[in-house]
Amino acid sequence: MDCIDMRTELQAYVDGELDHRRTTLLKRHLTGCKRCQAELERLRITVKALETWPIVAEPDQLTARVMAQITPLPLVNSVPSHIPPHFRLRWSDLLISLAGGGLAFIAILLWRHSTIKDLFRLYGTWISLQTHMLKLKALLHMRLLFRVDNAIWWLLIASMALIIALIPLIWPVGMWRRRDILR
Amino acid sequence: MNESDAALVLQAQQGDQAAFEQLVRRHQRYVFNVAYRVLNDYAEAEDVAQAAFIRAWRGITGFRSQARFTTWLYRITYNLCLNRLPRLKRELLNIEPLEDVLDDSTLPPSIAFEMQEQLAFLHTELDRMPEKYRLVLTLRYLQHLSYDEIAAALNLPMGTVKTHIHRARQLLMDRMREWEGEAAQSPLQEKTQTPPSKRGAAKPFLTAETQGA
Repeated sequence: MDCIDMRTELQAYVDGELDHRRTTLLKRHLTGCKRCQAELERLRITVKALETWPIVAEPDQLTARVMAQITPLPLVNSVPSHIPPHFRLRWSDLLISLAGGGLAFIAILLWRHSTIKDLFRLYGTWISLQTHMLKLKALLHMRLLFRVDNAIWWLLIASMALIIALIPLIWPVGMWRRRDILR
Repeated sequence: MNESDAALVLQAQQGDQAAFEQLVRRHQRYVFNVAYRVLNDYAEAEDVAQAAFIRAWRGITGFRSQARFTTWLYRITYNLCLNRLPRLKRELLNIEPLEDVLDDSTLPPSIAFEMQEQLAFLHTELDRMPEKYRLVLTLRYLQHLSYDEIAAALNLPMGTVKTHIHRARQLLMDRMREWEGEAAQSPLQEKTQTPPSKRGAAKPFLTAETQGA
């Protein structure tokens, strides 16, 4: 290692990030190099200067001025809980369901050319995704921070039901094609 | 009772203004210093610090308790500093190549310096560094944030944060070498440079005794 390489090593050494091997190499280099010894000393003084960098006193009335300007927070979840959230379809819901349907269509195409293991793996991933999304919804409702539009969840669950319904139709076709390829 | 930030944040999220006031008192000095060290202007820093806490109050119900409150608060402060220094964001993403200096200046200085002289010189030089370096150094050495936390606060890769801190320290070392060289050539000259004049009223620095907790 030469002195140019030492520059990065010195920085990591002062931060305590060097492993044992690199520390040994560095110390061996430092033993015979006055230049790098001087650089290490400068770096230590620099770190000392940073640690003792004077702090400026804040304005006296800063807290008072802040508190004078804050207003009470709006009530979270102002809708009474006994009123169920209403169903409202938005363009974003349609786009999400189209995207989900498109992914499902691609998945179906892939299934026709995949092995059974791939099919189960893909299906398992889909189930896992749905489970995590349902968990997230449950967490959000528990936190009562904001309402999640039920439309999105119903559409995603509907797309999952669609895929489950299509499996019996696709599976025999997939098996037939696999037998055909193997011949 | 000395409650943790997390406990005070939970109370503030329920609308408890007294709890939020405690948070303000606890962190105002550090928030103000982040703004001051970036903007180098007392009045601007005061505005930014005030706006940061007001914005924190308004957004406190959306704050996720898994993250540290200080990281979130410094992020707000940084974003407010960006309003006044739009180029700061671009500069933080830019990493200059390190100039490999290997001349006689890197050798040990020919005369001995007092530690206090060296520290005083470096403190002066810190005020003259580019804003991006002052920002990351303040978060690292004043607020004692980890590289991860600084990266989260500034929305930067951790590697970039680390590189900036290394570059900043190297810049200070380069300036120290130049100063040693100048002092060695003319030891009777004034070694420490006077601080640059700052816009706005300046307050005294705090000593170790007056800094408190």
